[in-house]
Formats: sequence, C-alpha cells, structure tokens
Amino acid sequence: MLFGVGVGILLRSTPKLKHTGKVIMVVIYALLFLLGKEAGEDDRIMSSLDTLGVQALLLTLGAVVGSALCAKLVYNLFFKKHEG
Amino acid sequence: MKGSLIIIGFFVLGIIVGLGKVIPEGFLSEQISTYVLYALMFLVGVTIGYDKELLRSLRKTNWRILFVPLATIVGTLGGVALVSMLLPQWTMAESMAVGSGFGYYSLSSIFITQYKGAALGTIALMSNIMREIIALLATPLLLRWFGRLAPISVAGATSMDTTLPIITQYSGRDYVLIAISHGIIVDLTVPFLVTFFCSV
Repeated sequence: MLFGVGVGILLRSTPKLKHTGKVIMVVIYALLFLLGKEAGEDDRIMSSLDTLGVQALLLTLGAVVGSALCAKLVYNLFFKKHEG
Repeated sequence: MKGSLIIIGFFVLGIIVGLGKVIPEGFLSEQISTYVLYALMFLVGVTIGYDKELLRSLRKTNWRILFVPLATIVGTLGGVALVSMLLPQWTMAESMAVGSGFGYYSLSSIFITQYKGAALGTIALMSNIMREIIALLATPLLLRWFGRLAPISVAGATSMDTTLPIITQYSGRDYVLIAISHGIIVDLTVPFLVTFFCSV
C-alpha cells in the first residue's frame, strides 16, 4: 500500500487516474461477492448466522462505548477549555 | 447510505450463489483472491498518494487533533478486548481484528476473510456496518453523553465521508476539519491493524 502511495504521488500530473476510485469500488464489490459466496457455501456459517450477528453486535457495542469514553476524556482534557 | 446498500447487495448475492452452489467451489481459488487483495491495497495507496488535498490537510493538523484518532483506536481496541472475554469462540486478537475495521467494513471484512475465514469475515462485515449505522443514528445522544468528539470517534474511518454530514450538523462546523483528518488517519491504520491482529 505504501508502494501505491509513492506511485500515486509520482503520477499526480497524469489526469488518467481519476478512475482508480471506481476501479477500487468494483474490486471491493467483487471480493464482497466472493465473501458472500464462501459464507453461503459453508453450512456451519449459514446455520449460525444469528449467533454471528449477536457476536458482531456485542463487539460493536464494545467498540462504540470504548471509543466514546476515550473521546470524552480527550475532549475534556484538550478541547473543552478552548471553547467560549 | 446508497453505497452501503450496494455493498450488502453484493454480499447477499454472493450468499445466494453460494447456497445454490452455482459456481463450482474451486473457481476463483484463494490464491487469486490474495492477488486481487494486493492489487486492491496498491490501488488504495495510489488514490491516497494521488490526492494532494488529502496529504495537505494532514500536514495542517495541529497536535491536539492527533489525540482524537488515538482516542478512537485505543477506545475501540480496549472495548473490543473487554467484550472478547464474553466470546470464547474467538481469541482476543481475532476480536480486535474485527474492531480494527473502525467502520471500514468493505476492506476489513475482506482482509479478515482471507486470513481467518468467512465466519469471522462475516462478523467483521456485520459489526462494522452496525458501527456506521450507530454513528448515523446515535449522534445526538453521543453528543449529549460524551461531548463533541464522541460522534467523530464512534464514526471511526467513516468520519470523513458517510457520517461527515451528521457530524457537521451536531458537533458543529469547527469540527469538520477534525472529523476529516480523523477519518484519514483511522482509515490508514485499518489495513495495518487488521493484518497485525490477524497474524498475532
């Protein structure tokens, strides 16, 4: 990826690259399709989709509460006093 | 929101194809998808390097702003690590790989599928989509309970695109630049942190 960053900087003068964003989206769609296909073929995943969903929700809640608490800390330490 | 629907659409389409076993299983083997993944990483890098504004706005940020992505990363990984104790099926590192998506569901779930299989990849996809939805819906509450930076941190990597309008609306215009640079920095850490926690 860092290699790509370097190439991107070098290629700035060429206007052709405007389309890389679209190429990336197409590749991502294709890979997500494959993820779906792999999950669909796997009977264990399909039969436990609800438990996977519950696990995903728990992890999300942990991530949300954790990041919100740290954001509150940073806000109180560094940002609050700069406001009127 | 349209983007998310298209993404889920492709995933669901894949599930249907997989259930019907329309495409033989050997087709598009794992090796090919590894190379496609490398190509994808390269392209993501190219767009970052190509965008002058992106790097310039990173350079303009002052040191205070850097604490916001740090809070997001530390808070997310800490929260996910705690939750992982409730999930004996997955190791703490695997749970942290899911958390390291920071709402960037397309890229992180693809990576995790590659390294850890489709089950954890599916969790990553669902979890990171949920994170974006929570950021979109709960911003007013987050603001009231946790201050102006919380909507940005919870939005994770999406704070520079899909959730930026709502952050602007609630946290205020002064926080737009913070939200954008936060999104860029968190976004950049996703591939590194996800692969790191997958290989631990």
